[in-house]
Amino acid sequence: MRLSRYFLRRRWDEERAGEIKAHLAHEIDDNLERGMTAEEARRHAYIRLGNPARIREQIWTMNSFSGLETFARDLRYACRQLARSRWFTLTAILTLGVGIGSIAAIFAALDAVTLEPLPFPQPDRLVAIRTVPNDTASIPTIQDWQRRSSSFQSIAAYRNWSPEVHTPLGSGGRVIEISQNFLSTLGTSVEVGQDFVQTGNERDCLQQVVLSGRLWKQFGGGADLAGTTIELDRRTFRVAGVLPVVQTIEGPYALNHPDIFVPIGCDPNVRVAERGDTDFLVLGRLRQGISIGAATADIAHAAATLQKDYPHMYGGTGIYGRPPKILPWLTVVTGTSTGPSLLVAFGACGLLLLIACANLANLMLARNVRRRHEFAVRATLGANARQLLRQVLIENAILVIAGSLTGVLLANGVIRLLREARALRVPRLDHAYVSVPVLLFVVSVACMVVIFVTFLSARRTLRPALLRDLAGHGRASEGGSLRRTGRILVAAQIAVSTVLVACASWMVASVYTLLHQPLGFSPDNLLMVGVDIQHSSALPAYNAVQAASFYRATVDALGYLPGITSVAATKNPPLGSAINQYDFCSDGHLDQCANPTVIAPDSYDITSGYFNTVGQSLLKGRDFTDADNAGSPVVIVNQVLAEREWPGMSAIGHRIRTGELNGWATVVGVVGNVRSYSLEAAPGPDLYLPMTYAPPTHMVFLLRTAGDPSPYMEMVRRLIQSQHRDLLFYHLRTMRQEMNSEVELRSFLMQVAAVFGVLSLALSILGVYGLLAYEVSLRRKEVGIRIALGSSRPEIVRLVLRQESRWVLAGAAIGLIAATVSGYALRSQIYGVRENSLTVLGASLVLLMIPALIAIAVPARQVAHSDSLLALRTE
Amino acid sequence: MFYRRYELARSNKEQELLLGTLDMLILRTLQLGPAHGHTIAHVIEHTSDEVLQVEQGSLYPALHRLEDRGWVSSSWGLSENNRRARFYKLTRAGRKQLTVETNRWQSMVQAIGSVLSHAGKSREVRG
Repeated sequence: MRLSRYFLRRRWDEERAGEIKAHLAHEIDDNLERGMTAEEARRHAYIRLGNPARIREQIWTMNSFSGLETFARDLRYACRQLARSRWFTLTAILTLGVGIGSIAAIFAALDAVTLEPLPFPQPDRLVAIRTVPNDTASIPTIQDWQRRSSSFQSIAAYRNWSPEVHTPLGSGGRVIEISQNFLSTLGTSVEVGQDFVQTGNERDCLQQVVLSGRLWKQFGGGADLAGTTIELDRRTFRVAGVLPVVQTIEGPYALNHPDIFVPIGCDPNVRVAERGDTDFLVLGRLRQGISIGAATADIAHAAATLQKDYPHMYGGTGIYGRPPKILPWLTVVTGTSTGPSLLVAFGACGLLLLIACANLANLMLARNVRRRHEFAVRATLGANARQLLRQVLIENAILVIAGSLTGVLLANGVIRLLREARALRVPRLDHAYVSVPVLLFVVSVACMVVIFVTFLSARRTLRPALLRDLAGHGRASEGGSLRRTGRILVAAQIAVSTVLVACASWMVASVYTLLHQPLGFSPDNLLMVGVDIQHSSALPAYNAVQAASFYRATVDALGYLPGITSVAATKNPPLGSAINQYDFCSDGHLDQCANPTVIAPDSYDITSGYFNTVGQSLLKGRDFTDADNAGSPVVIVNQVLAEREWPGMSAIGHRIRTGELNGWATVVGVVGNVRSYSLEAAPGPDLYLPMTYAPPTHMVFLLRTAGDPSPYMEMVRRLIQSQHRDLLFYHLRTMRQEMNSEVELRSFLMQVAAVFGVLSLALSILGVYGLLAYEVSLRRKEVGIRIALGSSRPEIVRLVLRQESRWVLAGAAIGLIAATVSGYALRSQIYGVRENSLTVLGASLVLLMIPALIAIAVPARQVAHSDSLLALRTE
Repeated sequence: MFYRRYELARSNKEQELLLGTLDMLILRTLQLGPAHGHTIAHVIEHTSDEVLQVEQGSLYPALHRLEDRGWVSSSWGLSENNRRARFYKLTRAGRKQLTVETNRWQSMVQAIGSVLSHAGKSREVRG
């Protein structure tokens, strides 16, 4: 019944009007009968009835859904008000959009990468077992771990393999070698065909493979495997089974969506059954109810028993010296530092959103105060504080909704950018999108923002002191608490910005330090070309002399190319992340020779002239010459090794024993240290041998060029290929490219951090400027008086600066303390934090204070230069 | 927080009673026959010997409410003075409601009465 009344209420109102008119007519008639005059009759009738308009209003209200109607009216009014202050609205929506959008994007990434469970049964039971420090283990070790511990349901091994792949589709495909229980440990199984049987012994390696469902679909799919084969390294493998199409296996390196699963032991170049061949990564499934801590203790115990049984292999400071650590498989898939990094990013976005909200609250504070006249009029006309609050709330809600929509669009774009960012290499990031949980998150954030901002800015303006506000007075003597709130907000923004700017600066400093620190060699104009001569026409069967002469001849030939200053070759170039360790002892520590262990140093096989080409300094002794032969072997050590083995003495003439030569050699030279592993790892002990003793099957040629090395790449390739067409090339890049790719992720994060820093800085300075502009406008009268009384304009500016910079400095000081704490918390992520910190903190302070002071000075100057007469007259 | 609620009778605990009472009185008046708003007010005042003064501003909202609930129905007609007026008539549901309200009122009057007469006697609380 109500609904029909609602739609007909206009007609009802007309009828009511008529009815009331009739009532009045009757009353007037009665009054006339009672003897009043026409005038009196009318007056008494109206007095008796009351306000006809109010009666009609009451009935109209009874016919309406008053709540909704008031809401609709407030909505229209709010939109009108917002449209009138266009700049404020635009700024507010943009700031909110940036804040909410960034936090939504990071949340989407977090959701996809860390919160979404892995597509395996009971994925929390899956773990990775990593030895310290190399992460890898050998097959017999893994089998012993399983036998000697009780925490694991099964332990599997896997390894990357890069053979030449030939399939019915052509060539190419990602191959992974897996142990027999790999698929069952994961919890998946073949859909078509059957899993393979394998014993880990290369002789028993049955020529079988399992394909991923995706690859099988590309072959044509179907349930019939009969006779399908593929070729790996020119050997034929039969397809034994196919995984389900939907089963995704993702992770770094070997686990990056592999297509071809091969049983371990099928790579004939690598031994498998030896305890010392540690090449395999380990995946385990914990038993029900066993925690990672318990499993770690269990496996440490097992490792200790292994150490007792095989002291040479696992003893002391050797590879297995420390107990292995266990990580959740999810961490391995996404990258060990991804979770924490994303959380840091989330925190940074939260801070940015906080700044945006504080800015908004400040803007609203100023705006609400300007609108006090309007609020006072409404209050006089009968609005109560609740209605005024509702209006403010609706306005803010509109702003936040618009800001959230902008933010969602922005988040979409940011997520797309993140997915395409090659540098991130985060495997599960392509699951990220603006999904329902993300939208719910945005909604809840928006609600919190609305409440926070409204109540922060609406406290006093809703109980207006009516008379004062109606008359327009009271602006100069604003409530101190109002201005204090504004100042506190801006000071807080400055503190937060200091933290963000400091963190960004730290990252910039990290990248800079990494790329410009002394490396021990000169990385500019250095070209690297790796050549694998195994199984090619250059080396059909392994022959030391043939290999050595190939390398020597190539080095010589390359040296004649125009623009090439010098050439040399090495098994592993600097920054190459290579580990080549053999058992080692020296005559400085003969006791170690009784039980030689596989231990650092890393060995490098080099041609003569290597140190000169690479720019490594020869400190004592001499370089290798062509005369050095295997009869009386010689080696060169670096400073770290020399000081470790023979502290305080000259290393020249001492003897060392290495498993690579299976004998003793004499030290003939000492070279400076280089960062041979990576940019971050400090130089370790290195041992250099002439490559003629045991020429490797692949070496990297290093060429020092006259100018930019990139143009020479083709020329070098062609020359090497001209003699032997079937050589395999790898590692073709310049040293600078290598360094840049190593800091790629850091650079990316640095750019992101820089964006954050700049945004927060801009927002804060805007906040300072906005607040100051408002403040000085309040003080125009005071300034006018001061000028009239004889102050000079620069004095006024200085006065304002002095007064206002106090709280800005307070904010910056708090920010510095917070930045220091953050720096400490993040010290593992920042390279060179100790050296750079003072510079960074100082620079951040300057970066913040100078624009802030300018933002204070500009409005101060404006008001100081205004016409003093006008200022005196203005209210 | 103080704010004013614009209700039918200026909200005061005493006069909320009057709200329901006004409805009842209107229904009773209409039981005697259909009438228009002015007449209803006049009749109530007259019958009570001018003791009950109907606030005419509340009359029409009350009539509207009664009509909303289906206790009265209305139509346009001509009054005694030959003026166009809206006449209200009691419906069957209205008749039933009148009985209900009358009973409620009488039981309330009885209750108040017994309390008042009791108060004259001894104040001892019987056990």
